[in-house]
Amino acid sequence: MALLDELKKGITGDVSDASDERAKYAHDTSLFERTPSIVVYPKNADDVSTLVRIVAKAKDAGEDVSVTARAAGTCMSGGPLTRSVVAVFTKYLNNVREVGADYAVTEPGVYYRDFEKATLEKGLILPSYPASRSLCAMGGIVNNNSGGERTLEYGKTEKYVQEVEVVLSDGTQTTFKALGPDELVEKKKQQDLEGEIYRRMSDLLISNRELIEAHRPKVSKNSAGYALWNVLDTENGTFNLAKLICGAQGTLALMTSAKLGLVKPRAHRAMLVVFLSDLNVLPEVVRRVLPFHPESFESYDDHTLSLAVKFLPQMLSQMGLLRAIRLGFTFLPEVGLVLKGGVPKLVLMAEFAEDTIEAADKKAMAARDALADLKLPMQIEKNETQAEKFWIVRRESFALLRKNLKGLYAAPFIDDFVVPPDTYPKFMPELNALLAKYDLIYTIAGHIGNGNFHIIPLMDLAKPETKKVVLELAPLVYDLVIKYGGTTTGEHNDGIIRTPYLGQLFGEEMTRLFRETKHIFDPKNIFNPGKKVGGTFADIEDSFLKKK
Amino acid sequence: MGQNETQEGVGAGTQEKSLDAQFNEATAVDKPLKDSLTPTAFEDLRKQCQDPMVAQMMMGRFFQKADRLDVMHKQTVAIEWGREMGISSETMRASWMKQIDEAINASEK
Repeated sequence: MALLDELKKGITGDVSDASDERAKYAHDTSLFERTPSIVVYPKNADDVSTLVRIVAKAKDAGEDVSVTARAAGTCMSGGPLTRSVVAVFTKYLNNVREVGADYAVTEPGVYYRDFEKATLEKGLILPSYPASRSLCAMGGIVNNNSGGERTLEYGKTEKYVQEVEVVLSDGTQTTFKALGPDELVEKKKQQDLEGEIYRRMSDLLISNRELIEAHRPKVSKNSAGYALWNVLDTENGTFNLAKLICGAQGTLALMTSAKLGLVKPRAHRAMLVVFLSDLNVLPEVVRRVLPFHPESFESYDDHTLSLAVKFLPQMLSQMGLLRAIRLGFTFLPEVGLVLKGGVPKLVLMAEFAEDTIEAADKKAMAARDALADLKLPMQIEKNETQAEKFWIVRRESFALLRKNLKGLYAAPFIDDFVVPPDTYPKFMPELNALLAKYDLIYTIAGHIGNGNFHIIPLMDLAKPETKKVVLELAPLVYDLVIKYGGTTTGEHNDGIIRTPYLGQLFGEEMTRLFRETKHIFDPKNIFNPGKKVGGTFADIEDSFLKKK
Repeated sequence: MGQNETQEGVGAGTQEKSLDAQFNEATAVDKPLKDSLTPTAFEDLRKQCQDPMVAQMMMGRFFQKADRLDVMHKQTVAIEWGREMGISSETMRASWMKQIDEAINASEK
């Protein structure tokens, strides 16, 4: 029986190979396109098991087939793109199952905005939400190990993933969670794939502990590779494979639910806004502000601000009339700056969160005082309403670029590297010199407090030299990032765009461990092949968007 | 419910504490594990610790428990428990906990 017929017969959800249905899932927000051959909308975990079993059987029969999970499709690395079967979770597996006293259990297809509504009913949030919070879904958040504006204070998703329910590559369902020593002993006795995974991963981690520890990322954010360094929690004496599934882009198992820790956010915020006309002073500003422990420390550049002003009516039109009018007036100073040509090179937003507005203000003012002798234009936004316009520009910048540039495409390929902030004085000039060699227009936004830069060049994909620039510039930027102890991706993950550079970042011995890990979980290579392991530069070239 | 089943249930619930419960009680005091655990529990734990991953996890737990004791040399207590369990210095040293390495160095001086 053909694969499509078997899937239609076995799956209780929906299965389609209609061209319009397949076209819906050919893109994410990366530089790539791949049209799936079949779209499956699993109704429940049993459907996911059936799907995996059918695909595994077809693979055994010699078919070149695989299954790739997809949630909201806002990935910037090409993670959910496939030419084989795509499993779309947003249609049915979209329930928040439970919100407890300090955790929530969610299915992968829940949009973050809905998840947050549910958790806020108990005054809690998942603080590792990304900038795409209004568009993204929980499957992507967990499987990319997302981070965002509050990661500086609260850490990334890996810190909050407690348990995951998954379907393994033989179709069995299990839960990965923190196991004590005796529980691990019992798991290792199991004579099935799960037992095999526990036995072999335990051996791999023990046999290579020094190598793994030596490659534990030295920066505060990393989504590159498999997080082998996170599985064993030596402080608590636990072994948790959920920590490995987090950030694995659906290459090891398919997640059908996740239990995530939540935090109670502080009630009040004040923001110190610093306008930089000279980037040379940036390292010093960051060095002086970080000791005041901002909850977030973000930035965007002059190109981003000019675009925001240019497309202000469109941006505001999505926000409701009253809010749009109120916000529209707050943008008047920025409109004036753009008209007069006095836009700062970089806007820095350091937001301080405390339990009282007085305490938050006090911190913002102390940080401002610490910068006083630098004689920079600064202002303090004393509450979240006043700070809103800065957040809108910061959060909406990538969406604005994607929607509004005619002939140019927002091309994320050096979009997410991280360097230790104390290396800025040496790193920044070298980066600027490197980028200056290429005739690029690009925007810079990012998490300046973590050293996580989002550099998005605006490129004409119809030009043949665009591909050449992508393939030539990325390894040069990564050489620089690696030289300064950084990583290629802080939160956007490897996908199609960065998997080929994992060897450059981690070296051959470590990428061998990634290959072994992949083989232990997925010996038939049916889960999202070419991501994390086995991705090539040819994949980048072959999957490039044809043109915009 | 059959007679055997009832007896097993009673035995598990009242006459013998679980290994986990015994471990928690034993590590709540600064005493050798041999003096606190039943001989069966002691041997069961030693057997589990032959697995290098379990040995490392157990060391993590020993450190966590020792940290709660009101004694001066907490790390030494954890290492002594580890040695009772047959965990070698090499395995302890190979652990990803820097403090284990430092404490072993101190204890072997």
